[in-house]
Amino acid sequence: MERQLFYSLFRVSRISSILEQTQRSSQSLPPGASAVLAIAAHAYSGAAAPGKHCAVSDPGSCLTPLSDANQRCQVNQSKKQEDISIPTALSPRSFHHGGALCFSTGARPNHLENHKDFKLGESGRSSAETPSTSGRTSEGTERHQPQKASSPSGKSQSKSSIDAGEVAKFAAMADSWWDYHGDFAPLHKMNPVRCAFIRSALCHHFGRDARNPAPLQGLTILDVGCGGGLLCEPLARMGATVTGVDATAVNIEVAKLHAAKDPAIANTEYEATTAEALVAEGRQFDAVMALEVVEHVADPLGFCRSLGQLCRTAGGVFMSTINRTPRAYALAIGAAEYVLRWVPRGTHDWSRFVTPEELALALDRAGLEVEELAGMVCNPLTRSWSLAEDTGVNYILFAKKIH
Amino acid sequence: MTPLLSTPAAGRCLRTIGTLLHNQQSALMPQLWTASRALSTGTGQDQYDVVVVGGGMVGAALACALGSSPMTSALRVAVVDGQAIDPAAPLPDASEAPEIRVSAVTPSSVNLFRDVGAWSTVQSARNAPFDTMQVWDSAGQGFVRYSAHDVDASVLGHVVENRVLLAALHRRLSESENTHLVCPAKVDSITWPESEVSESDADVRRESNGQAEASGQGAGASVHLSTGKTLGARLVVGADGGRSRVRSLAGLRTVGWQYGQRGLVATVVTDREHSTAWQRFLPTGPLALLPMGGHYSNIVWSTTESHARALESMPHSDFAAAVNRALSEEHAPQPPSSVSSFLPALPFLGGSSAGGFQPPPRVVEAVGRRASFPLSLVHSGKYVQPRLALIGDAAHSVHPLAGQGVNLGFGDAQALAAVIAKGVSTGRDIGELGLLEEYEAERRAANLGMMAALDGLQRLFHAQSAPVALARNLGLDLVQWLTPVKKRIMSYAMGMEPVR
Repeated sequence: MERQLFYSLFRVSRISSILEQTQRSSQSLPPGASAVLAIAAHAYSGAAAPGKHCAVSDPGSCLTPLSDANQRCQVNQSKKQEDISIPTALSPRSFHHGGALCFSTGARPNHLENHKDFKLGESGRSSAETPSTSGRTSEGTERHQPQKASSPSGKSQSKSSIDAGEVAKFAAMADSWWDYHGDFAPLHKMNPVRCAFIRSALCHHFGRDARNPAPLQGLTILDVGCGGGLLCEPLARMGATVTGVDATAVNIEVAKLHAAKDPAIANTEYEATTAEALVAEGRQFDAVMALEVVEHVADPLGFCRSLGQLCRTAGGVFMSTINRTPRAYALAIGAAEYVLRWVPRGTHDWSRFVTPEELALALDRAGLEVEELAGMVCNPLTRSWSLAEDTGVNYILFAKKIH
Repeated sequence: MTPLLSTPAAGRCLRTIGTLLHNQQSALMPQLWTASRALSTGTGQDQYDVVVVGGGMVGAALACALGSSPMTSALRVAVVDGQAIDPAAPLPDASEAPEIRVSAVTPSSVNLFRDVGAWSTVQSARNAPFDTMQVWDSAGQGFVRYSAHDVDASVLGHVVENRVLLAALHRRLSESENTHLVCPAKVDSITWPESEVSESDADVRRESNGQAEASGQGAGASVHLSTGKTLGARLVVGADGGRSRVRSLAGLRTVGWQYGQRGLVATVVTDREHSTAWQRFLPTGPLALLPMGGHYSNIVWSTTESHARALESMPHSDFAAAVNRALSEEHAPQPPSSVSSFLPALPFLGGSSAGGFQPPPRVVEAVGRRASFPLSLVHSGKYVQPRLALIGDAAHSVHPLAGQGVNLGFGDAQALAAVIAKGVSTGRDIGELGLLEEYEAERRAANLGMMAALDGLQRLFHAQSAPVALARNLGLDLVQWLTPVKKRIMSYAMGMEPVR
């Protein structure tokens, strides 16, 4: 009840008016601004300072880019004007999560960064929606390959076309992706918490028995920006029929190679493609995952719309990202990039971080209604991750498709 | 893909199907799960999720725990043991003298037995609950008496024959449909997955990578048995005791030392029934007298090698006399103690409800065989590596003081089963290192704490110099009179969270 009231409040027309305002402001940008997209690409690697770049959608499109720093300011201003009607923050909700959801994995904070690197290509394409950007995106992606793999990312489209040397190279990379103490250790530590949230939300949404070891039998799931398959494999073990896509072909080969080792998840499908390409094909899934992706997307609204289109009517979308708060800046950028140097400097651009409110707005425009929201917090002493009410830094949400 | 389903009506259909599936799932799932595994084996080996090497108390407890939790009951579990396991074996007759090998199971371990449905069997056989524990020193007047009432418990633990515990667990094993007994069979060798081995094998791995893929070798380990059978496993659990074959096959190193002592076990008859665990620290080592039900008691006597050998071979009557001497003579008169004379003046410290020193019962006769075993402390440097976890004595064997060894093992089994259940619920590969390390972190802390405490006790009480003897006497007295401290010690020994 409370939830319905909350979200019906949330969907009132005033919200739309904010979006329209934002949209107007985007249209006021100089024509031909899409050329600036090339600059935006550098933002992925953090070379550009906030505000130096702007990402613009096709002027003809009704999509409103939210990612640009200037525009984000305008959103914030709008918020100020409208703050009577807008809840100050989405409260984390865990309606059916008992204590079962909270468990620890033992990790460092700011686990995300490495993983994001591998999603840049995906994200870039997702947002660009123009063929002209794909090549550039590949470049951007390649910079972030683990061990600086030299194979061009767009090269191999099917496993059969790869020679033995390539296989060995992928195997080495697979070791890196799947090394629990390696480059992706922070992500491995955080992953179970995301999986617990997804499991719980899907069981609730689809009326499955959460005590079942594999409750997602019969559900089709798409993981956008699947990387080495770190999320796909657990979902497949929970019984789901999983399709993982990543714009980076190397990642897809790594994921295929690793999944092939385990017969229980061998039916997982991996494809080097983009969310937009799948939309064009008319593919739809019961649930669509885009974890730690949206903060690298130039056009979150367009990205959310694509996710919504990939989702069946009764389905839903999962997204996780980093909140735009001073604390997130201190932890995700200050601590992780500068003090502890867990991730390369410039991995993140604070101005691209998205607040839960903004994400809910974007999802709302894409026909998706936020059902569940939870923070993911890392205890620095025990290095363990857990789901929590605190959405101040990392958070994950589930939005169901309403139209 | 299926545009039909995108209409609202079809959506409802989908939900209905989902509900149907959901209702059938509990019945369907194990088969589906099993089917997917069965399909997975192209190489002719039996494929399991967990292969537990060692069907002793700890290994069987793990298999039972996996079989009784809804999250893990669909896992295919194999229990490999060198000896035949007969789940239908009758429980020992309570009228005959008890076996010498017994365990003092803590309330925490009892909870594990209850969870897996094995406790009722134990209760139907001979078991001796004890509600009091008295520890005293031969070199002075210090003593400490623990009572279950001090921690609001009805018992401190149960003394049960190992064969009863084992039979109770084995009965449960046979009732779990996905648990398979593979015995008698010994482990010849284990093949660990290529891509998950340590850095040093990286070169080998690179060379053989293509072949491994080509031969269809999965990510699991393969356990090769002496019977010629090969078991595929996502996770191999070494529960094969202090001289673990699995541990040495995995190349895990251990640290430890011998105490230069032997532990002697025997069954005796006392002049009266009692429900106290008695433990006296003698110059040569601790002597424990545990109630076994009726007039029977169990003796665990840690002493020098030569003394142990002598005790082992002497006639029954001489042994009974030796125990009586050791328990009640050869030392200073019994308390009242020095500290107790002034401490009661401080009421905030709290008195003990266990009361003053009680003399132990007298041993009337010794019955059955006696045996002795060397005492040592062994701790494995690591409990886990990819696709491997060690539990029980395979990971750590401790001084038998306070009978904590098997309780630590049950604690391991409980923790590993919980971690596996958590792994299944989040779709993790149950053999992956990251998951197993959670088990290791949890148990290493618990085991090291107890091992250090027991080792410290052993060393403290072994020392015979006057200052040390005086200090420990005062220490025992202080513990006796400081109720909060006592409660903490008791809770710790009972495997419970500290009581506030």
